[in-house]
Amino acid sequence: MNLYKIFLFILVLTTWLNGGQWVIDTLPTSGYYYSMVIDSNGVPVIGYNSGKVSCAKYISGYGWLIQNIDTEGYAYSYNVRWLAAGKNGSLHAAYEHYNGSYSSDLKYAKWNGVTWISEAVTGATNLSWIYDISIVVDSNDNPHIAYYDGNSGDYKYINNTGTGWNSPSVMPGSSSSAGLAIDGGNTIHTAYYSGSLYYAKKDAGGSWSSPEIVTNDGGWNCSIAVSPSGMVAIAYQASNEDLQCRCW
Amino acid sequence: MRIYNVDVGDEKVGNYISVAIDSISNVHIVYDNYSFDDLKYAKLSAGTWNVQTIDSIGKVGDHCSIAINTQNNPCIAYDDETNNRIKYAYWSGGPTSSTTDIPANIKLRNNSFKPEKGEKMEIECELFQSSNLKINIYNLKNELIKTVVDENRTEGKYSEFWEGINSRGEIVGSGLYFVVIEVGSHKIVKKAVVIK
Repeated sequence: MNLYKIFLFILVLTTWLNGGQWVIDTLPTSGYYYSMVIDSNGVPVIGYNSGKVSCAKYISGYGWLIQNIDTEGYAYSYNVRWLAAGKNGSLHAAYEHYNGSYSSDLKYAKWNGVTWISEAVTGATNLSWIYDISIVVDSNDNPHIAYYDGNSGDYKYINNTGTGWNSPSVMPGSSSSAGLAIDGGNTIHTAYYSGSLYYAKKDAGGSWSSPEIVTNDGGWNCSIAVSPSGMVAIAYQASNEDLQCRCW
Repeated sequence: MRIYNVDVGDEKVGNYISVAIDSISNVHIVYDNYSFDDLKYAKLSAGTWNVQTIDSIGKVGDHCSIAINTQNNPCIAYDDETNNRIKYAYWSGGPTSSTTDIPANIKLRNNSFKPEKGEKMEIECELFQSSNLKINIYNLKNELIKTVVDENRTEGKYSEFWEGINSRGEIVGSGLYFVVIEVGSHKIVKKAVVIK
């Protein structure tokens, strides 16, 4: 069996394309619901859950450095990013903290280059259930968070202006597998499944556009990305369990 | 809006999906193949998708997430359920592909089949350039079971078939087999299941 594993490992690592190759590493830890980011210094960072919210940073010459983002909490985010990279090496995380008795807070934590500082998000506390938490960071290093509010059954959006949290607002549709992305002009884009796959956007300081149907052919497990210039890509599972992508 | 069928076929994909765009507008997607518990990756460059299996050792691919590094290369975190570990894959040394670098588009059809009922697996190979095409079937012990084809082919689309027999013409036992497709110097590994 060891020879078989070595054989397959060599096959994977020797899949050469134009001089490059896939390099695969195993971390000295376990987890789930990963969120992969590259910080502004080029450091790979993997956010993960393991009964608490943690991250692993790859430091050249050292290896994987494990940090606790919070000693409690869960980032139950399915196919969306709950960890985001900001300016000057900052990292931003959004996750659920369960208080007991069916009460949870939305929490936000920021790596300031020295330590993680966490806070409950004002206006998004004592909720019966929170999931699909997604975060993006604008050019001013301010966070924008989307989350499912189990009290109202709505998908909501909340942002911090640098002086405090705005009141949460209901996002288009009651959704699952929603996610946020942000472009270079600080326009926020979202894709979500609610019977069909929908897309909407919100210009900086503006309100959400009317949702557009991206497809009626499935749309599950969608993931959205936006380039700095505003190119949008939405990948999703079609109704026949194939992978499709729409780009514009 | 462009609509792309990125990964189609009998294998079920996309329980977990993560997409990213690099600085020159190439689209990168990482996702799971939950028919075989593999990690897959697709890249859109110059209007063409390049689809690869990155990791097929054990049960891998859940909870995958992708980001693009400062060299415009993909970095991926994903789950290794077999070993209860987080895995990290990144592309090193050069661009992941350009359309001229992709030697072939390979698809397996009916790769879970019953040879005793006359069923067979189709290996569809679209060669983008003249190459030697070699397809070998291995069992879990890394024993060569059958060479399906080993000959030079010109550019074009070909269909090869494996009837679930070994080199002696006997129907093989039930289980998992590896289909190793070599196109020139490139190797692609896919899986097949024989059912009795």
